[in-house]
Amino acid sequence: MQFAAPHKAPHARTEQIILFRCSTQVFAISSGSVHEVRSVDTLAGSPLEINEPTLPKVGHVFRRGEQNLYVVNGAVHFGLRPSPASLILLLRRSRTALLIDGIEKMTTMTRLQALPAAFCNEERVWYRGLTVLDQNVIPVVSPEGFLTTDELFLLDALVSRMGLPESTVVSEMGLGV
Amino acid sequence: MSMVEQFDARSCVLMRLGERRFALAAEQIAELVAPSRVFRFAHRTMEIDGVILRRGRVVPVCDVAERLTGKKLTSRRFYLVATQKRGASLDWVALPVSGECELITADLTPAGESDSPHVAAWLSHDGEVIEVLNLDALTPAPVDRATPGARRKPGGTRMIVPGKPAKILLIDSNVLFSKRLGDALRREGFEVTTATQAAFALTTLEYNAPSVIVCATNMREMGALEIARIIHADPKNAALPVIAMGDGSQRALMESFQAGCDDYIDRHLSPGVIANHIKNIVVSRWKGFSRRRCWARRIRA
Repeated sequence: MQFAAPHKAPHARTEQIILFRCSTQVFAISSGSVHEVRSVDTLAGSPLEINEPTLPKVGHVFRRGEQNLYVVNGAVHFGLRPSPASLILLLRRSRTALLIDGIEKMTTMTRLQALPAAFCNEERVWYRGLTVLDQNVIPVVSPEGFLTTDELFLLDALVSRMGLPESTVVSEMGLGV
Repeated sequence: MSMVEQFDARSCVLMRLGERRFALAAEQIAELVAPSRVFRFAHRTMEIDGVILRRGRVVPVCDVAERLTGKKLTSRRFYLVATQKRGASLDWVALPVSGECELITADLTPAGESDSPHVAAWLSHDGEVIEVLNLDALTPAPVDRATPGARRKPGGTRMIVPGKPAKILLIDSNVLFSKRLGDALRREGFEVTTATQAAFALTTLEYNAPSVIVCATNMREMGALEIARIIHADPKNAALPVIAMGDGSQRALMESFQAGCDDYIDRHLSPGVIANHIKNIVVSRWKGFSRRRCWARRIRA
């Protein structure tokens, strides 16, 4: 005769997040989707400037290994007042590097609420959902929401026309997360 | 089955928005809450002001006052939290109201075909005829739930289609002038809808999208200058031309263009001349000319 294993209360699923600031607003991103955090200074001089009028949020591109990484200004992406950015988040499994003003802190979220259905525009692509931390509602960004496939295609075509010089190759160094 | 088909006498909650009262079906109301902190974050849904936290739930705040009364609520005293059934899910929405709410039972009269979609029914209370609101028509909803990112293309359904009469929304408080101008426009081959209030006209944009809006500048509550700002601030209406009708003064002309109106007409001209001018604007836009593009070309040159 076998007895069933004693029931264990399931652990609350938690997720490590990074709270970062763009313009005056605070956003959260899963720390698992951030590959590296770098200072803007470490990229100074090397990235190639992009001036695509239909994509004002993308200002620079640099080469990392085989891939072009596009630097998206977080404030412009979210339609906020642009402010001097100091850090770049290199996102994992993505060709996006996110330009942000600063990191507030790393913390843990225990609950991710779906974005209410009343939000029916681009924010549904931008955010995975909302989380509540210290009685504050913080949007949790989706790493895939910064550049669509069409936008990447457009940028790739633009960069191939411009030609990316060797000086834009950036090594894998900086502050790993 | 609509609310009115089901029952004749219904419990409704009366809410006050500024000087006017509106009603909502009582079963849609979850609670009335005192003002709490509104959290705001970056988004592109114009109708949503932010979110409030209620019992751990994030509830979007949808200010419907401007759409219903033409004025923003300056004093918010409470949030009426309502529920909306969308498919299998139940969504919550908080409506800012400017006074205490009242629960009543009243006989409802079904809304007619000519009523705005936001009117589900009518009721009489204390000698006042009150609109019973259809919340689904007032609050934004995803265009396609299967593809959450799907967005309405700016001006996508509002383009002038060759071979079909262009729809003109004519807003003027002078009913006689509206009728004369409306007749002149119909003679030019347009389909014309008239409104005496700009606020009402704004609500018709969702279900009877015009190709052009022609609006007087000297309206009592909201004129061409205000309507141009509101319409062009909304990405989905940004391409919709607004033509201002003013008193012919230089000042009115300047103010109209500064407010973002696409063209200006002297209202004292004869209806036939005004209709002809509007026709020229519509035809030139159909051929791809717009004032903004022209300016952009000039700036580039």
